[in-house]
Amino acid sequence: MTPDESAQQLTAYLLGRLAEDEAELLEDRYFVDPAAYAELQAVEDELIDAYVRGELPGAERAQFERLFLPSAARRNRIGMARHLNRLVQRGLPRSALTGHARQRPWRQGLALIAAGCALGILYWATGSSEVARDSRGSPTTSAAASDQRLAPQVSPNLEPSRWPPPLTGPESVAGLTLRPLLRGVAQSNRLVVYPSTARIHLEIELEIKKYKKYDAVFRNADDQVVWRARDLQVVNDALACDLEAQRLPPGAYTVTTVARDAAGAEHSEGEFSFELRRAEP
Amino acid sequence: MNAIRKGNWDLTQPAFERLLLKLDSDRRRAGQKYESLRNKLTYFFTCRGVLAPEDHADEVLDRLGRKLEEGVEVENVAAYSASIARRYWKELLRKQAREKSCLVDGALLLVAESRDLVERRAGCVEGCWEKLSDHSRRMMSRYCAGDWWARVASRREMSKALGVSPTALRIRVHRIRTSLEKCVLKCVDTKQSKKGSGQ
Repeated sequence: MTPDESAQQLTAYLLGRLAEDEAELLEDRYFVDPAAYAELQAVEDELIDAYVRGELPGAERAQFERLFLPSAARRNRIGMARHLNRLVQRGLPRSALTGHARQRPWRQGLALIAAGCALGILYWATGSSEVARDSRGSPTTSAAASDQRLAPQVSPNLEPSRWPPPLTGPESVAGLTLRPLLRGVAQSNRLVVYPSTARIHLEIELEIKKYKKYDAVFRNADDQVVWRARDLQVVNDALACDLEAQRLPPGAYTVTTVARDAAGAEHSEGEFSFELRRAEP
Repeated sequence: MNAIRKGNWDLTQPAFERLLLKLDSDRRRAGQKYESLRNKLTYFFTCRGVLAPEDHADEVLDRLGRKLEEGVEVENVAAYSASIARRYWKELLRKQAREKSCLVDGALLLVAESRDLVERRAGCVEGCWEKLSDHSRRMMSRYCAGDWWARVASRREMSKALGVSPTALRIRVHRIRTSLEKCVLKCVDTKQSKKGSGQ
């Protein structure tokens, strides 16, 4: 199992999504192996971070809240993760961002977090107070020190899903039109995304248009399929494709348009390429 | 939610001693292993969505002690504890089905924390962050910095630079974070008790 697969399995366990037999195997492992236990808890750290940054998709977020919020210990950890990031949000001197904060070098590190967490922080500024406030929006006094002391209440207005992130400005959607590869002609399809870019919109111009619908298959530089957008309709000789920016790390990609004939056989018809770059903060 | 007691049996001192001996012949190490096992059991019940997980962890340890006292041959105490915990969890599920209790659906809860606690914790996080070593702060910062893809790239670079696997790197950062969290918990408690005593 690769580290990524292992992390995915542990995440599934933490979200209660692992089959019982797999969960039992995992539990047997972490009970006897301290490294496995540490890895599980490290993955929990990252899951909590993803939650407080607003990076968990709706279903995972709901599952996370169902399983994590009842536990006082975990609520504490979530609160700490929020503060760790809020600490950064308060704003650092420009010198820290550029690495000249010699008197307090640690602030440079915070600045790095600040840059990275900017998107998630936008959330906290507007919607993270659900832990500190009750459903009517007023501060409450119920303590979190003990599960038994919770005052459970059925929530009439659980916060809406935070995924996809709200579009907060002109940089929230990055767009690119892909044209067919031309023999012997260098293509320069470059898409630059910003930290606040939430979605990517691609227009794929078709040279051959035999079918009404196509799939767009995204492959990375290692020729691995990283995303498949299904059943895209041909409109004005082009396909429009939207995806979450986080799905694509920086790198070179090829996009193949694939259609299915009446018999269900797949036909690759066009190939496009582009490079995705991340703008430096 | 109280633990489900099996009969009126409590962990007796001799049974506790036997359990410690089974964990390690050195009493100090045995104590550490006992705490570690209790932490894992607590974590197990937390992951299984059970409230008051410490109480249930103690109940499992009681049952383990009882088994040892009854002369059950246990090769691996940790693995055996996991199996007891799972059986016990199933009992809790059945009890929940009868009483509609114990396992709480967090999605139906809005969990509230006092503003005071939130503010205290914020100050403690900042103070404890400053107490970390430069190296630890740099590690955590680099590990957490940036958006999703920047983090992926940064972690890959860190793994390479440190010559460790991504998993080992994740665990290293987790240990730093654990020390930070311990510091924060202690700080929050201290502030709370100072406030309680009117200082």
